[in-house]
Amino acid sequence: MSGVPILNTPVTLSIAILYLLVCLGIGVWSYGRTKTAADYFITGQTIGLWVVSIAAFSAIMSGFGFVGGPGLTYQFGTSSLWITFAQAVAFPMAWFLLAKRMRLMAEVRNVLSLPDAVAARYRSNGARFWMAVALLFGILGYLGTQVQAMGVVMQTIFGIDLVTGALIGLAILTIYTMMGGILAGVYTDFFQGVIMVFASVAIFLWCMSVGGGMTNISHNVALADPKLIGPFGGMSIMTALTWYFLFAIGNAGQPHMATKLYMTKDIYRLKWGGFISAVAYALCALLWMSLGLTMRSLVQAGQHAPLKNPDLTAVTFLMEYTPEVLAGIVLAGLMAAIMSTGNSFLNLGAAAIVRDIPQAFGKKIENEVFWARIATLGLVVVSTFFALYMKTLVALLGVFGWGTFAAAVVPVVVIGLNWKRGTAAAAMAAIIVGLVANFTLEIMAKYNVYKLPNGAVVGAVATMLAIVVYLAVSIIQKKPGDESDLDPDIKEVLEA
Amino acid sequence: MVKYSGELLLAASLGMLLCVWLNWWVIFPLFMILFFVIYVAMGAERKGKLGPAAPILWVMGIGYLVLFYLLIMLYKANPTGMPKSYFLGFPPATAVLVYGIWLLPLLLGVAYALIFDNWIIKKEDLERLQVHSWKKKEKESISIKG
Repeated sequence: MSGVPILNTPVTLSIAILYLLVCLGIGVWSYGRTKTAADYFITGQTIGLWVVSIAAFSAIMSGFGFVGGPGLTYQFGTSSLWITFAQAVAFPMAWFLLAKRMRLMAEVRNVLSLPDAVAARYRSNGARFWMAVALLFGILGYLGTQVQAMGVVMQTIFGIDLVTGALIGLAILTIYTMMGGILAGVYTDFFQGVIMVFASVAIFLWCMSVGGGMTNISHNVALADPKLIGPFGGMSIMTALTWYFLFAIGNAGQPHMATKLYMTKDIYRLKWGGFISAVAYALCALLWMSLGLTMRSLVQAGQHAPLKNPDLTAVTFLMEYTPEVLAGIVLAGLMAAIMSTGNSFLNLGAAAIVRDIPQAFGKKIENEVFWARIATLGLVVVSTFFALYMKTLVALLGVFGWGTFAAAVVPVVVIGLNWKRGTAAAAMAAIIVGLVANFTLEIMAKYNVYKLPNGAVVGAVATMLAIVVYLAVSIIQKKPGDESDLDPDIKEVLEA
Repeated sequence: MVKYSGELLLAASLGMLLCVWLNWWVIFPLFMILFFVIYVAMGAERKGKLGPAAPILWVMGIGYLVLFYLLIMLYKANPTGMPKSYFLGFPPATAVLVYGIWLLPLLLGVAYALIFDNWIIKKEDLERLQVHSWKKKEKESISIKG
């Protein structure tokens, strides 16, 4: 069973099955409400403040936050907290830069995806095409990792083998995504987000109780290695700082977050959204921080044997230190984190395949909803194949997912919608440089050909390079005050 | 500042890249904070002015500078030794990370909401955009049934 602990008690099984049934129920409910492409891709703009804010945060909080995050904290102490702490400033920054512009863009144009916005902003199908390509790369990587994580969680809960577990979880995800599109997605995201927050706060309180309070936990961790509880943890200082930069500005560049901003009933619903998303995420970060440190403290105090695999930190703590009900809720929260991110990517991938890439070549697909459902199924098949049979590729794509989105979307969309000097050529150059830099640097690091100096994070450096290219090319190409390449309605959006 | 936002953002990005290669980790936060402030200023700017967003940006920039350099100062005082004291459960430098760098920026979300109605989006913006919205609805009222 590949060393994954099994936690299939009647209580955890009941909670997990109940959770999956609610997700399916939301899919069935949304099916009757999904008639147009706008319904399928951006909910027909029917969403209120709380749903969009919680859905935005839960899309960003993937399975990594519940498994990989505590594992990194167990292994390297506070280093990885720079990733999760960055979200407190990331959501408000994303709102300052994107919320109004994206929502207004949807007001004046028929935009359903990020490449739609790029095509409108730059009057360029080339920029639309490259954006769609960058998104597809990132989406396949992210989906592959979510499939693998789904297999592990289903194995833990149901005691079945990894492949069967992944297939059952995916089948449920696919059914509700195909039926209800993003409408089902945002309502399940909302439901899943509430579970994640509840589970995280409960686990934090439990950790404080088991570990004897934060000071005691910190003291025990310091006895193991004082660096682990220092501000930068066991990794290099530059790793922590570049993580903070990448995750603070990269949030607005994540398409599964950014496209949620199209979806509100009206622009006024966005007012408190950045704050709500940031607070919800901060509550989930409590789990990331407390679980890893508490487990490390227990090991140091001799109350638990050292873990062989840091990724099992969360599951081990749940099995051995929490009541079954809480373990069941947290495991449902973990499934929620995986499924909410997976659903968003399936939807974005379907949009890239049936809408963005064909439109970049001047073709419009008839009956977009039908073909989007087929594309969703196709993406599930391809990503499952990748996840199960091409694990090295998935690991690579998964690692560079966040950085790929940040490098492509931050300069071209986030800065581009707030700076009138950006040009189409600069946008395409930035996307290509971001993609190439991310991929080549990750591959060279993996095969020990070249590593960035001082522990700097590849995604952060690639994003900085893409921003430099975008700004430099635009400044060279276009004089200040030249607005000849902006359509009047887009100019109004940029000036509002 | 807003007039040269592109150039300033470019300078901040190049500064961060330089710090990465030279391992100037003490200087890196300076360029990162400059980047954050210019970045948010781009989003808050209206016709070259920052209005009520200007004091928010000042507080954000100075607040970040104080927190980052307080953290660095405390870290340098005891980089690898056992903590001599704890503040609300953490060694002092880590407490600055947890209670300052993590939690205080949440207030930026409150600031956004506070200036939303009188600065972020105004009635006249929506009235101007209404014209384009009607044109869009005329041109693109296609609904594709699934």
